[in-house]
Amino acid sequence: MPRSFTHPLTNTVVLDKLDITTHLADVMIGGLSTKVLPVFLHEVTHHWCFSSPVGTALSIIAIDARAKLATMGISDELEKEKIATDEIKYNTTLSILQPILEGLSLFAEFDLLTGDSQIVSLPTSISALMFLGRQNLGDKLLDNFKAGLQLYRVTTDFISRKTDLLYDSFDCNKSSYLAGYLFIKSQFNVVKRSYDQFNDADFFMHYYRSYIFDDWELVRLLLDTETSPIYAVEDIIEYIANRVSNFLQLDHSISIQKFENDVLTQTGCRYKIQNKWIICEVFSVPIGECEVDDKLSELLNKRVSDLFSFSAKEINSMVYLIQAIIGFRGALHLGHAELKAKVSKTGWLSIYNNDLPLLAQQAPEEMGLDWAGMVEADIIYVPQPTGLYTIISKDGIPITSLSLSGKKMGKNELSYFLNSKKVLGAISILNGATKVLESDKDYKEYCEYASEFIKININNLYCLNALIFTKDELIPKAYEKMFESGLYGIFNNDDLLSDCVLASLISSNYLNAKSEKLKDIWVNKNVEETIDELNNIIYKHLGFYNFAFLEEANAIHSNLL
Amino acid sequence: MQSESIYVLHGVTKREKMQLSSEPDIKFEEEEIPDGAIGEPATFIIMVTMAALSTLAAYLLRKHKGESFEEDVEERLPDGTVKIRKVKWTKSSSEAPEADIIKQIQGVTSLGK
Repeated sequence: MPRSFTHPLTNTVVLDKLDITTHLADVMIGGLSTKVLPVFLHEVTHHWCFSSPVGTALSIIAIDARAKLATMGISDELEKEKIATDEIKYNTTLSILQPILEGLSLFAEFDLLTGDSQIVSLPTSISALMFLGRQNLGDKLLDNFKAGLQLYRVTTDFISRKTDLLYDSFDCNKSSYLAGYLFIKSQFNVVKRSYDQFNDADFFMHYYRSYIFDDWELVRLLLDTETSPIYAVEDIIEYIANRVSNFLQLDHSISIQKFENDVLTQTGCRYKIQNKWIICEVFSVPIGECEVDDKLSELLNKRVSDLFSFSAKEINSMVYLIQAIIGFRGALHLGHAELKAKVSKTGWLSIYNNDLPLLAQQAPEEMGLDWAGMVEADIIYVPQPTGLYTIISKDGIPITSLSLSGKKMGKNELSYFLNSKKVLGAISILNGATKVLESDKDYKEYCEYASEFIKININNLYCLNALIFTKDELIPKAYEKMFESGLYGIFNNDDLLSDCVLASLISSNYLNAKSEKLKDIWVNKNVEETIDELNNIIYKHLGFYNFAFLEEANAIHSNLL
Repeated sequence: MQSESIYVLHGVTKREKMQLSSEPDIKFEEEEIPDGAIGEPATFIIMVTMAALSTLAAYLLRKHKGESFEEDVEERLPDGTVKIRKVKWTKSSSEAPEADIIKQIQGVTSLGK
């Protein structure tokens, strides 16, 4: 698979650039190559956003609708309306949130750095472990990771990835990346002026992710069964648009303190899903007035129960999939490979790559003794209790787990685990099931309505907010240039665009613009003159000076990019 | 069915695609991810026939700014077989760069086999 991705239906991550066949040991010891760092930060951030109440609710409604379609088709008009409503809600919510999802992931790639806060986001903590874990840095791990990130960000890989981003269309109806990224940057740059805590980019991202994805009011709208497709579209878009637009208007002074404390003490909102099929907890740290009242609690439990009772009757394997998706949602899949395995006469299981032993431990009894063959290995990171495991499956059934600490996953946890090949197969079946609905005339009309509603609203919501410092009269021209080829449309010059990227990376990573390391990159360039040139172009097209060179520290300040 | 081999390079960005769009005989396709998935910014594959291999070789040299590199290029044969060739070019190579790269893409070893 040449592009890495995360699937919101199951929260499955596929990192194509991580070849487990050759790098299993590197992954297990926390010695990943920095080549993988940008894409790792990107996908882990997607996964983290979907490991939330909103992500869980999206999975529930889509799996419910698609599993029904896969097994029963459309039985009657009432059922069709219900299925169509869930499908439309799922697709509409993801479409309208996509710029935020991509914006946060790109912010993680280019801007994420820890600061003064006592809490650390999951993308930072897991990346530090995966890339520097092998160095046994103890309590210096995060500081070293931060220092490493600051340097990596001005290497060719990052500069080139960010330059590519700035060529992307700014039109959310064509692509969510650039508009989403500039939107998140605008929120960050504005809000940090009012609250010191937001100068910590990692804290900002953590808080913003909770603001959007730990939102139980949105969960309520998603799970609601008393609505029609058209009203569902309007309600969801209106709700999300208000929530997004209000972020800069709200007084965050109290919620910042509460958020930090709740994350630190793990005392946010612990909501328990419990029925005969599954017992699990959805942990969230909601911001604002969001809470789980009795009515919502009843609705959530009912929808989860319905999911299981339906699936148990129709397709047994779906039960395991749902248990994995809901009960084991935070588990992050890092890679899959088919490898040689041997169980010795003394019961020792070894996993090999090209005859080199990679991992070994006592084999489970069911594997027998003196056995050799191929097994499937899936590496997963489990956040609570933290651990990195290689799950060994035979014929698609997980049989044991290995970890460097010698810890094994409990039988109960292991039964929740499905290897990625199976999950991707299930996604394909569930996606295929929607074809029945796609040929329905009413459903087509609902989709057209939803898509038109999104089209009208999405650029006003994200592009206008992203260009928050741009004068109104310059907006139409800026859109015209940026909708086609992003910031290249403004600069119209590859070298200037690269300079802009470098200046912005120096700014967001608090680097010394005149350091020896950077001199090699700014070949033959005068930093002050380059900044002036960039500013003049940005001012001409967008009406503000983006960069400021701070002479004393040789630092660059950026207003937006 | 195609009548000749097609050479394929993965992971081309939108910027690179824009820069190559004026070149004749190059086809682009977006790299797919499963329906409904979200992920990295879109990348493309470049597809060329033997007649445009020099364009592909020139692009690889330009992409790596004349520095040594390793890239995987696929050859899709008319019968559907796919061969992956590791193209390894070193700056110190004594051969003409483009010719060296084209030979490697075609799977021709230095002994002419």
